[in-house]
Amino acid sequence: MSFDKLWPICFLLFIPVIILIYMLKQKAKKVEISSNMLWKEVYKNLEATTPWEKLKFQWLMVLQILLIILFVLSLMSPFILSGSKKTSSLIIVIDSSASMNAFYDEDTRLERAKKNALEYLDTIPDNTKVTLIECNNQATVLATNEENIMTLKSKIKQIEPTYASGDLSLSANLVNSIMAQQPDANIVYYTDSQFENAYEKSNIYSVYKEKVNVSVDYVSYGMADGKITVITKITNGSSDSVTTDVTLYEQGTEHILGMETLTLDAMSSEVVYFEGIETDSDKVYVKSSKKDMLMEDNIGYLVLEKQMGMKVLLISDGNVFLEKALASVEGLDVYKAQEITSAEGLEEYDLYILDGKSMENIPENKSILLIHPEANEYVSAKESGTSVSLKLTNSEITNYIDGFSFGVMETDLYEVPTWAKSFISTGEKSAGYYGEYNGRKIAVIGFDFHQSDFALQAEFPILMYQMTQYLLQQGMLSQNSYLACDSVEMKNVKADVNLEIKNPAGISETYTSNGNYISYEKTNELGFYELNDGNETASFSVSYPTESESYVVPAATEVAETGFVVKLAQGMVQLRNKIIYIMLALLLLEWLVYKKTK
Amino acid sequence: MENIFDLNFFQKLNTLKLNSYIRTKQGMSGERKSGAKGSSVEFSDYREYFPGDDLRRIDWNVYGRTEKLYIKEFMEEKEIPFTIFLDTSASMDFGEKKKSIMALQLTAAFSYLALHHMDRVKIELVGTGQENNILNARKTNNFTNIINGLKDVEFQGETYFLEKIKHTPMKQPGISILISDFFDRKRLEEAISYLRYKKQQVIILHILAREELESQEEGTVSFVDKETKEEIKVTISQSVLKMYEKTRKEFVRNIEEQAKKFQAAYVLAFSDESLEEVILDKLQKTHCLIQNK
Repeated sequence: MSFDKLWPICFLLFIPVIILIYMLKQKAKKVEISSNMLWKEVYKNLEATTPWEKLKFQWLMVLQILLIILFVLSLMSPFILSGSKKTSSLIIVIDSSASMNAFYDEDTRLERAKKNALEYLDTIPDNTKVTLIECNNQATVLATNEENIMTLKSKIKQIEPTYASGDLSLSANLVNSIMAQQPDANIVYYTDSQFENAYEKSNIYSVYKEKVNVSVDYVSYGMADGKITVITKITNGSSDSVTTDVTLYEQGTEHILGMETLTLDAMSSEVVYFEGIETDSDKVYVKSSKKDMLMEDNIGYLVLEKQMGMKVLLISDGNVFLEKALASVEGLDVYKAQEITSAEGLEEYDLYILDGKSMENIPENKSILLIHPEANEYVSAKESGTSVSLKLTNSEITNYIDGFSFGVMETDLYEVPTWAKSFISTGEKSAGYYGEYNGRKIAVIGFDFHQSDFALQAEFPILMYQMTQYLLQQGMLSQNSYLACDSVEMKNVKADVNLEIKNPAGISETYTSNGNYISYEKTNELGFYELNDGNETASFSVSYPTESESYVVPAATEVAETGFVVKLAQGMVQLRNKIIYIMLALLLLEWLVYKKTK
Repeated sequence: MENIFDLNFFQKLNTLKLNSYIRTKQGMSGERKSGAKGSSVEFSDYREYFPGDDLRRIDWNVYGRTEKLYIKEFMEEKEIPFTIFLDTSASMDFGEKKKSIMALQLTAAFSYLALHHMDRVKIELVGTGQENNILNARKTNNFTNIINGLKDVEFQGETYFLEKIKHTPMKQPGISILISDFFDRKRLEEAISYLRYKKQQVIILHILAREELESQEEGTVSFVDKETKEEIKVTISQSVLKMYEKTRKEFVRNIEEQAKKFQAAYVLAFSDESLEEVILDKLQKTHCLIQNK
C-alpha cells in the first residue's frame, strides 16, 4: 500500500490529546479507607513503572483513536498499485507531449505520471528488466533492460516537459520490436490521451482530469492602408461557460494594442478582431487572461510582415475571378499581359501567374503560378478528368479551408512530383500542387477557373491569398509561424556566414550554413525567435500546438476489443472510500457504545 | 461489651494464663514467680541460720538430724505490670465490623486475664484527642471500671506509638501489649526496641479489617485517609490491584519480621473474626496464653 500524501500524519497528534482528555475527565469515586499508607506505596511504584497504568481501558477511547487513525489514513489517500503482472521484464512508456503540461491542483499531468511511474517501480520484483521510453513528437528510449531501480528513477525524474505535439502511438514501433524479443514483458503506458496502436494486454494509466481550459487557437492578420487587423480565435474547451479578457500586446514594450472581454459558452469558440492597429513592432501576441489548467495555450504569437509593393504579372486572356481575388490581396501591384513576346523588362516582377500560357521568357528563380498549364519541366505527364469532384486537402496554403469540395467540368490530373505537395485532389490524383524546386516556388492548378464554380465560392479568395503569400515569401524563412518542436527550415542562407538564433529565453546560438540550408530543431520554447546573419534579420514565432494538444480525448475507461485495460485514477486502487465506510461503521458503533455506557 | 464476656467465655478465660518469662523482684505481691525470696508456699532453698533470722522459719527436723540450724526459704510471688497500648486513632474505626471493637474486646480480655492473676493493668490510649488516656486497675473487682472506661473510648485522630511509649513510665519489667492496625509502622521498630530495652515482654496484636484485603472495582478512585483526610487518586486496573495485594502482604510480613527480630509475639487478627477464635486459637498458638494449672 502506498500513500498519495503524507502531511495528514500530523493529525495523529490528536491521539495523545484524546488520551489526555480521557485521563483528565475520569471522575474519581471517593472511598474512605482506614489509611492511605498502602496506596501511597502502590502509587509510588505505579509512577515508577508505567504512567499509562493510570489510564483505564475504555472502548470509547479506543474507538475514537481508531477513528482518528482512519481519518488520517483517508486523508493520506492510500492506494494499491494494481494491474502489474509479475514478469521478468517491463516496458514503461511516458507521454511528455504538450498536453501533459496541464496543471491540476498540485502538479502537472507529467509530474503525476512520473510520480506514478516511480511508485510503480517500487512494486516490481528485483531484477526486472525495465525499458523506459519517453514519447512526445517522437519516441525516445531512455533505458534498455535496466535492472537498477535507482538508475531508472533518476531517468524518470529527468524527463522534462515539452510542447511537442504527439501521442503514444508514436511509440508503437519501438514497443513492438521490444515485445518481439521479450514477449512476456509487461507494458505500462502513462498518458492523458487516447492513442492508437497500444500493445495488446498492456496497462494504460490515465492522468487525465477535466478542468477549465481556454485557448488561443490561432492568430492571423491582414493589412489595409498601413493599419493592421489581427484576427484570433478563442476556444473554451470546458463544460462551463467562461469569461475572459483577450488582449493584444506589442512584443517588447508590452503595450496593449487592443482588448476584448469575451463570455464563451461551454465547448464554444469565438473569433475576435482587433482592427485599425498601428504598431512599429513586427511582433505582437494575443493573450487570454483566464487562469486555467494549461496557461501555455493562452498565448498566440504573431510575426507581422510588412512587405509592400510586391509586383505580380498576370499573363492571361482574361480572368475576372483571378483579377478580383488578386485585387483583394493587400500590397500587391498586379500587372496584366496577354502574351510574353520578349524577356525584356520581365525581371522586375516577383510573381508570374500564367493562366494557360507557356513559360517562355520567364526569368529563372522567380515564383510562378501555373493555371491549367501545358506539360513543362514542373508539370509532368498528365491525364484528364471530366466532371470531377475536387477537394482542398490539408496544406500550408489551405489553412482554414481544407476539406472544402467543389466540382469542375474538366481538369488535368497529375502525379505529384517529389518536391511538391498536393493541395487539390480527387482520390489519389492531384489537381493542384505547390512546392519549391531549384530555388523557385511553384504552384500548379490543373483546371481553368471558368470550368468550375470554385471561383464563385468564398474559399477561392482565401486560397488565392494564402497562395500568393506563399509564393511571394522571401528571405531565410519559408514561413514565420511554427508550432513547438517543429523543425524550422532556413534557406537562402549565405555560405560561410554565421547565423545567430536567439530563442525566447534570450539564449543565442550560432550556426554556420552548409550549402545555404539550416535546419533548426530547438523550438521547445514558446515565443519569438530572432535570426541575424550580420546583414539581414528575421523573426519567427513558436506557438503551443493548440489544435492537437489543448483538448485531448481522454483514454476510454475500458477498451475490450483491443485487449488493453485502462485504469483511471492514476492506475491505482484507491482505498479512501473503503476507509470512509469503515469510519461510518465505527461511528455507529461508537454511538451504540456511548448509549450503552450512558 | 458485657455481652461478649458471657459466663462461658469467662470460664474459658479462667482456664488461661498469660505466659510470662519476666522475673521481677520489684512491685507488689502477686501470683507471678519472682527472683526474690519470700513467703509463698513454694519451697525455694535452705540456708544456714544467721542471728536475726525469724526463728519460726528454722527447720527443726534438719536440726534434729544434723544439730545445725538451717532456715527454710520460700519463693516470693510478685505481680507483673501489664501495659496495654491501645490504638485509638480514627483508622481503627473502620470496617463493616470495626477494628475498634476487636481492639476493645482484646483489651478487655487481656485486662481480665491480668487482673484474674493478680497482675496490675495499665491501659494507655494511643491517639490524639484522648483526654483521659490512662486506665489503671489492680484487682479483679476493678475490671468493671476498666470495662466502663473502655466504653467511653473514642476512636479519632492519629496514632503516635513511639512518642506515647517513650512517655510512659516503665520502672519494672512487665508485659506490653500493642493493639493496633499499625498503619504507622515506620517507627514501630523503634517502639518495640524501646520496650525491649525497658525489659518488657512484647505482644503485638495486629488488627485489620476484611475490607482492607478485598479487591476494589476497576476505575478511578479517590481514597480518603480516615485519619489525615488526605486524598489520593488511583486508577485501579488489574495490575494495580496486584501491586496493592503485594504491598499489603509486604506490610504484614514486615511487621511480623520486626516482631520476630525483637522476640515479640505477633498475632494478626481480623475484625470479623470471633474473639474466641483469636484468643483461644491464635494467641494460644503463639504461647502467649497457656492453660492455667
